[in-house]
Amino acid sequence: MKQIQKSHCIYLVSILVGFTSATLSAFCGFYVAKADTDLFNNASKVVLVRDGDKTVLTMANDYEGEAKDFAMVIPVPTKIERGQIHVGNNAAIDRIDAFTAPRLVEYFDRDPCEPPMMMEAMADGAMMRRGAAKSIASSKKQSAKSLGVTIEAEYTVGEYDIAILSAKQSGGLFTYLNQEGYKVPAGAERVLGSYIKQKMRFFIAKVNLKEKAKLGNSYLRPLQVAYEHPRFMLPIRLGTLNAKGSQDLFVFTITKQGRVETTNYPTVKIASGDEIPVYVKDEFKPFYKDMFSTAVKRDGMKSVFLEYAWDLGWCDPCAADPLNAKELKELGVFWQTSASNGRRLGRMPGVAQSAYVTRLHLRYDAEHFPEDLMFQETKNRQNFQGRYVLRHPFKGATCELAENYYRNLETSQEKRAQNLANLTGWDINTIRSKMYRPSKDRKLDATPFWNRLWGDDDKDSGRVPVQRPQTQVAPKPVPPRPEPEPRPIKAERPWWKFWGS
Amino acid sequence: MKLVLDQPSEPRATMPSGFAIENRLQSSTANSKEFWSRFSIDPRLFQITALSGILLFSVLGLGREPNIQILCALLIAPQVVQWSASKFIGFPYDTRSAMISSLSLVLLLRTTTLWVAVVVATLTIGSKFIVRFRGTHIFNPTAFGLGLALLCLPDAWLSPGLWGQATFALTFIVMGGLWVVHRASSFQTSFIFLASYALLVFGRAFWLDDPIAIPLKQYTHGAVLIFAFFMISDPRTTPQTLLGRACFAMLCALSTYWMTFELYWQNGLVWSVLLANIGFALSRCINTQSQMSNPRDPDLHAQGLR
Repeated sequence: MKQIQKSHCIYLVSILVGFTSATLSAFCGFYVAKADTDLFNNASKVVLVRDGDKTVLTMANDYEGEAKDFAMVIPVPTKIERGQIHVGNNAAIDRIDAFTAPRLVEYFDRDPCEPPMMMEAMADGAMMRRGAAKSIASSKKQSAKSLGVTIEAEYTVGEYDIAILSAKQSGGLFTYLNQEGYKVPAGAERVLGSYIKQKMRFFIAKVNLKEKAKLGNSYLRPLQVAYEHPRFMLPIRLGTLNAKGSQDLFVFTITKQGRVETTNYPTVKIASGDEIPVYVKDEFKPFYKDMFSTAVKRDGMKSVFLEYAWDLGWCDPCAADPLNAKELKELGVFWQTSASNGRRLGRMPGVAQSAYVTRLHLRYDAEHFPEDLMFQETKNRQNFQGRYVLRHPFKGATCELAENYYRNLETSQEKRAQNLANLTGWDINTIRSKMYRPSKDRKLDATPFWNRLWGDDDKDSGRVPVQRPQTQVAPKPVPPRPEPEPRPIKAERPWWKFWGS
Repeated sequence: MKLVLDQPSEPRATMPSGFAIENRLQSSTANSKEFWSRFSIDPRLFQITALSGILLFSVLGLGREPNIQILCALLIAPQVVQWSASKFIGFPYDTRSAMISSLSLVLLLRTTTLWVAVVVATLTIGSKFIVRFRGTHIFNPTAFGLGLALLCLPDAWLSPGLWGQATFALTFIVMGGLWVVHRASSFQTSFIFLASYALLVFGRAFWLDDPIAIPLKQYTHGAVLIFAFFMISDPRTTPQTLLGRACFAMLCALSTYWMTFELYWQNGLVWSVLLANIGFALSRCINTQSQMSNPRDPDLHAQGLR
């Protein structure tokens, strides 16, 4: 059929997201792909800014196919006006991704032969870097109306053509989408019907090729929608319809009060704080992927994982520079954020306040996550971050104390190998072979401990007590950022006008 | 078919030991009640056992890591308040009811601040002695404490998503079994609530044409059962007649549904219990013949202040 041949590619519900720069990318919605277009849904990234009933939803767009084939359908709880839609900036999403990413923290053992002194270095290893139409004619409106579909508004925003639809029957909407050339996956009609009965609207975005050419961007910028509704949720059901296997979804929430958690699925903390072998520094991306996969497997894909929860006024250690007020505004933070002078509460200068970020990560499919994600903002301001500790052993010590140090180190290294194997499911022998073991490089003193304790008959029994070398942590200093000028929101304007016109 | 060990009125020749073993069909509930009445155990002990089991399961099965300081505060503070208030009023001190409130708070309240835990525990038990009407407290103590904490205190929240379906199954089996064994009339409220709420949630899913997995997920929250069996079933804040209990439970179910699925409120269970408590207090205000309005009730301590 001709209509099918010119099918557009849609994703229902949302967001293209980069997982890392190497492994892109997917969508928490479903692709309504052209018959011959091979698209995959693997990961998505969403930023939800919420205060009271006001929500700003930002959907990262990592779509890499032909721009003319791009389209997405997003269910939203309420009607949306032109001013409530905005095209954002990918850089801001990359920033919050980098800032909240799980991190490596390095410690260096001191020379056991030197007298105790503070000697510490710490480096942060931010790991996650991700790489990353036309108007409907009035005759189509008539056609839509006959199907029970109302095109409530049409706008061109940036490089996107936006249509807001409401419908009376899922069948009508389904037929309308097909008539418009979208290839809607099987099973969508039922889900659309459920959303229609819940009085949700549908937001369809397609690329306006002329506008895109004017902008000259090779990529699509994230779409942002601001709305006011008590429902604090993210629709994911549509996104599971054409997914091949499970998908990953990152949800970054920014709130005033505290941590965000899901109310209809358990929210659990990702494993954190374990010491792992130093060589993981060069393999952090596979480590993180396998660690997360192992956690999901053990959990039975029932939970949402908390990877980061922190007041945006400071960080310790920082995986990236904290977000300033301007960047937060780009992400949709609509309330007034003040900038600290760095003197109060140990906050860093130039950093926006009154904002708390939560990073949630889930792997989901229709079987394990049948319901849309429902969230709540809690009063919990306890900080949490996914961090993994690398402790560099001191090599080359030769004094008497070094024997004890290396003996203890052998035990510690074994423990780190087991930690890594437990976290990732990697083969323990491979891990052992890759990591530094003191026993490989030096012959450890095999004297029984009682001899070391009391000494031999012909030796003096007075030995120096064994002490493990001490290390202390100091946060990496963050250079001050220029303080942006805060822009007050005028009271008489609608709250979503914080973006400007 | 029930196996009954019975002391016969006269020895039978076929049983030289002097005992007769009979298999009888128990058609009369009177006999059953008579049998179980031998084990006159306070249903609150069952509730304490069940709550302790759920707490243990949440730690061992769900991997929850309770803050020891908070845990101690929530277990000790209610007993201290109960003891102090009992002494002040001049009634004997009873640990059981305060223990149920304590364990319910441990399971439901989330906080990281010690003083918040102490204040919530104090409000919970204190409400039994202060917020009273005609000889008994108005609000379910735990729901009252949680409601005030959610409204007024920092660093206090509930995590309904914490409880998976396994908790639901465990609680349902345990409490269902206890109900069968003990025939505690207060559990009638729980089961009527659960049935009404199921009707609403599954009915909504049927209307929306949602897959069955969605209402199952919405319904089988462990938190739903904790509220049903340990708060809504509170005999001092629920009617004494079956009809009254049915109305109370259905009102609870309806308001929970309305708050959760129409108003999209968080923690609709807490608010609906409090709303139903107010409704019941109003009904007692109208009905002056209420049994519970009698201040000379000899069992006032055991019932009203427990």
